[in-house]
Amino acid sequence: MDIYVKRVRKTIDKKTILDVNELAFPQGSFTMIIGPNGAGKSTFLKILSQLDTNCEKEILYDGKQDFPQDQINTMVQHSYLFDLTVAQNLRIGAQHITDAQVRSQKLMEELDLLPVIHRRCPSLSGGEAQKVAFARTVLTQKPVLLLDEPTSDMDVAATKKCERILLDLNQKLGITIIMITHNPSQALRLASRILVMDQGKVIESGNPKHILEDPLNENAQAYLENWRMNHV
Amino acid sequence: MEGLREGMIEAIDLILRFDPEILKIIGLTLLVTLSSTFIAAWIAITLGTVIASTSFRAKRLVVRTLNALMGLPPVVAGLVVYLVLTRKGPLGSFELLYTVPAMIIAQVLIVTPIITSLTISGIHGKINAIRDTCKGLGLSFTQTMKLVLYECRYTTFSAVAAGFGRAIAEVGAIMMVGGNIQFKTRVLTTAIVLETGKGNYGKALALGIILLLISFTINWGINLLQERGTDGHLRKTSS
Repeated sequence: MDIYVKRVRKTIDKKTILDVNELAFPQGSFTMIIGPNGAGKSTFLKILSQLDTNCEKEILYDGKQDFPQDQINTMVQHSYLFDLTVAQNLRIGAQHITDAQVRSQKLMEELDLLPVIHRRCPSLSGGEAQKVAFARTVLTQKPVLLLDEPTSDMDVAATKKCERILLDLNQKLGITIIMITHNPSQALRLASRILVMDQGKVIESGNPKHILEDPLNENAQAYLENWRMNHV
Repeated sequence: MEGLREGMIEAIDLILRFDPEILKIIGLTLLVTLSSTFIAAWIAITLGTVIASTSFRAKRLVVRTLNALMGLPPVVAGLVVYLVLTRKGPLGSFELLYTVPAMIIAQVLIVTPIITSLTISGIHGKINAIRDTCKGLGLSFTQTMKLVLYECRYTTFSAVAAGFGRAIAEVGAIMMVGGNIQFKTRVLTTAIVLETGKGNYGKALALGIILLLISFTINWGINLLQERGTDGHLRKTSS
C-alpha cells in the first residue's frame, strides 16, 4: 500500500508541534524515522495510524482518503499487554487464529516465545513483554506496519531477531514499514530510507548511508554527532 | 454492652422463629437493594466506560457533575422521585408511588452516579494505552470496550460494592417514596427508624444486626470474588 502525506499539521495551545508536507511512502518501502526527543516522531506516526485525529491532515492511502483500518497494524510506544496469557494476547489482533495455530507459528520460535506461551503477561519481563507486543503486531502480516520503537526494551539478540523478521516481511512479502528508532545504526541496517525529524519538521530525508555519513542540515548533524559520541 | 447482647439474642430469636414480618422485611430489603444495584451497575458501567473511553467537549463538566452527584442527599433524590411519581406528577398515571418499583427507582438514582464515577476513575489510568493498542490492531469499538471492562474488572467490582453499600444503608429516599408500609414497602432501614421511634430498642437493634450481617455477607462475597481473581492470577503467573 502506498501512503502519501500531502499535509499534516498539529497545533497545541497555538504552537505548531508538527508540520509535515509532501511525503510519500511507496508500497514495499522501509522507512525509519529518527530524531531527538520531542521531535514529533510519535505524533506523526499516531496521525498516520489514525490514533490521533485532532489535527489538520490530508493523507492518501492508496490514493484514497479513507483510512484502511484492516490494512494497517500499529505498535505504539508502550503497547498494552492484557492480563491474559501470551497466546491470548497474541490472538487479540488475530481472532481467526486458534491457540494451536499461534503456537505453530515460526515467529514464536524465532522470538523464543514458546516457553512463555501460557504465562500471563503481567509476569513477563520488559523485554519479553515487548517481544509479545511485537509478535502481536506482525502476526497478521497486514500490508502496512507502523512501529514506534519496537525494540527499545530488548537485548541485542532479541533486537537482531526482530530486525530479521522485519526484513523478511519487507523483502519477501512487500510489506510497507514505517518505524521510529533512537538507534541510527539500526536504521542503517534495515531501512531503504531515513527521515530525520526535529521540532515537528522533516529536516532530512533520503538514503540512510548518505544521511548518516553526511547530513546537510545543521540540526541533523548535531543530533547524529551527539549519537556518534555516545556510541563510540 | 448489655443492650447489644439483648439485641443479638432478639435478632437470633427473630430469625429462628421465622417471624413472617421479619422475613418479609429481609426479602424486600434484598429485592430492593440487589435490584437497584444491578440496574444501576448496568447503566453506570456502560456509561462510565463510554465516558472514560471517548473524548467530547463537555467531558470534564460531565465527570465533575457525576462526582458531585456522588454526594447527592438521598432525601433530595427521594423528593425528586416523589414529585415525578405523585398523582399530579409526570408519571403519576403509573401509580408507582408507595410501591417497590418506586423505591428501586429512587435507589438507582442515588447509586448510579457513585458506580459511574468510580468506574471512570478505575478506567481512567489505563484507557489511553488500551485504546491506542486496540485501535492499532484494528479492533472495533465494541471489542475495545470489552477488553477495557475485562482489564478494569477489579476496580469495577469495587465500584459496584460501594454502590451496594450505599443502597443497603439508604433510608431517607425509600421512606419518602415507599412509605414504610408493613408487608409492602417496609425494609430493614425504615423498620429500624420506626422501631426506634416506638421505643422498641431491642427490636431496632435486632434489625440493625440483621442488616449488618446481610451487608457484611454480600460485601465479603464481592471481596472473595476479587481475591480469588487476584490469587488465581498470582498462582498462574508464578507457575
